[in-house]
Amino acid sequence: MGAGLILMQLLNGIVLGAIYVLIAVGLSVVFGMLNIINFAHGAVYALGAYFAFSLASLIGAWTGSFWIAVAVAPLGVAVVGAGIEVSLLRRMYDVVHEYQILLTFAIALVIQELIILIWGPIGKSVSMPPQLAGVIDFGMFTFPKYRIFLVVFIALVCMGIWLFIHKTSYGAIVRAGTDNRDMVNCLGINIYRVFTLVFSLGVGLAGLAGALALPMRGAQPLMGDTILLLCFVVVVIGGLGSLEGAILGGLIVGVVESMMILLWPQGTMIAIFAAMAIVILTRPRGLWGLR
Amino acid sequence: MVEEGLERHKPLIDREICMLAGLAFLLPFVLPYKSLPAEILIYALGAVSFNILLGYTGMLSFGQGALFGMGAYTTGLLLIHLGWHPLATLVCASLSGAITALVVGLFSIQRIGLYFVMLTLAFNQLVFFIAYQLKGLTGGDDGLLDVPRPNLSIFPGLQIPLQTNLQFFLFIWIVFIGCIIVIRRILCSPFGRVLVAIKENPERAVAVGYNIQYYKLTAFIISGLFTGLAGGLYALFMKMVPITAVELVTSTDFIIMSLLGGLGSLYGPIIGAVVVKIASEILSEIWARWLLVLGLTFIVFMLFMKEGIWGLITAALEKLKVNLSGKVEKS
Repeated sequence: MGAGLILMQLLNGIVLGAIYVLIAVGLSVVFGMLNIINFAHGAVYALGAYFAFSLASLIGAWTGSFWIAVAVAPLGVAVVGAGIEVSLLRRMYDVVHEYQILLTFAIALVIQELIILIWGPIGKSVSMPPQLAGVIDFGMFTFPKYRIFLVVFIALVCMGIWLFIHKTSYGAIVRAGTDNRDMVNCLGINIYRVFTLVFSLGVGLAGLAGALALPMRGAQPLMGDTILLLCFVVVVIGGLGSLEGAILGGLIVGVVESMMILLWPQGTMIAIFAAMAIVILTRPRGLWGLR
Repeated sequence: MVEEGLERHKPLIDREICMLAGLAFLLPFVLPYKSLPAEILIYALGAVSFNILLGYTGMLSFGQGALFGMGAYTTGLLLIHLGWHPLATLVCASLSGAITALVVGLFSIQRIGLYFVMLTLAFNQLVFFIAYQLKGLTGGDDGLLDVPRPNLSIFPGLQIPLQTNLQFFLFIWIVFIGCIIVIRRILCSPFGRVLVAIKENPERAVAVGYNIQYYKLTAFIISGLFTGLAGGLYALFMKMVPITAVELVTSTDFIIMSLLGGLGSLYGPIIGAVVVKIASEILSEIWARWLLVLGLTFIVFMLFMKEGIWGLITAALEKLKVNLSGKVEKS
């Protein structure tokens, strides 16, 4: 096994991890604020990919079409998310936790079936955006340009979210709400509006991940299923509700997954889910979690 | 929330059980689908077992598929490789379900709420991927094929055939009713009341001196026992064990059935299993995207009818009773 191969798999792991990060950040922030685990998060990731596909093919052969799709599709997903929060989730905040989980599970089912209904059961794909087609030669191995762009772009997005949460006054409300939502409500801030915003932001990030992954992985109706379970692992390992934890966890899971492909491919998923169980049992707040 | 079927000192077999047995017995005669009735009862048993955890103890387990799958593989493997008596394999299926539940439960009950849910989910995935990788043993993706379904030999010379759909249904029917009687007895017992107490208010249950970890674990084992049995019956029914038996989708099937039927009683999940299985059979023929209908129905039930179909039925019966008694008084 050459050093080049190992390095390349490491890079692939970081790329994979970056996609997990983008999905898990939304999952984690939504958990921190709304206190629900969103089982529909994988389905909206798929929805993002399909929105981007439709937009890109609607605009046609123009070289910028993919970029417009990446910019607009997450907004569409965020609007869908806001609709879900306002019309469905909001009715469930005062009932037992288990019902909220099951409601998001039902929403996931509906979104998936709608995707199959609208776009058909067979997967879709788009060609690489021409600006980023091709590879970069690292000497020992070559690596697709698009994947490098993906990591840099997602890093910038994460920085943006960090700045939003830690440096803006609205972010302060979100942090306060994560800490104690009743108190925030008492201070005269409409916490439900914040819920809507956070939920649609989180869902929009999953949509962005779907749109960005589209040229690499295509769009399939059930693409959200496996990735959702992996992102549960990511947020649990990183610490539920923590932005930094989601980033750390995402990179760990991505790198472990692609390294295991070299070492022991059959054991990949077993190792990942065993790791999740061990983290919950020994350190439930995760590697970076606060509570 | 849990009220029906919990009064103490009920006889083992009473009007409720007789009605259930009678209605279940009608299934093969009213349904046009030949093999469906047996499948319905198998899933109903799984859903009832799931509801011991969620409806009675307040634990949302996503790990039931692992228990079901372990039962199914146990029966399948014992029949294929050792040629055991089917009843013996079913006992082993129950035991393997119970042992898996013991292991999963032992870890999962260390946490509550979301972390509990995530742990059960992680264990389901673990068992699934292990089963998936052990191709030599379980057949992996293709499933465990060619599980025989021999006749039940009771005495030398006396054999109960299980070959036709109706024969097999009768066998499942007897096992199912027997299980429901036992489960009802357990849930009506003081032990069952403690489970409800844990669901309603775990802190208070601790405060009055119950070791709630012990009760939760026992509930898990009981659930595993019957889920494993349902899995074993499923292997006999299918004459194979598909990999989906151990997948997360089996866990969610039980969840959907229980919720639509109603978590508040023993009978809700049974009705849920009947409705979901029949609807899936009819709707999937009409429209390939019938899951969309199921999902939307599920959402409506979650929002407006948390008591499920059973809740609707009991409310309607109550209304009827009031109306009737009102009329009697007037005349």
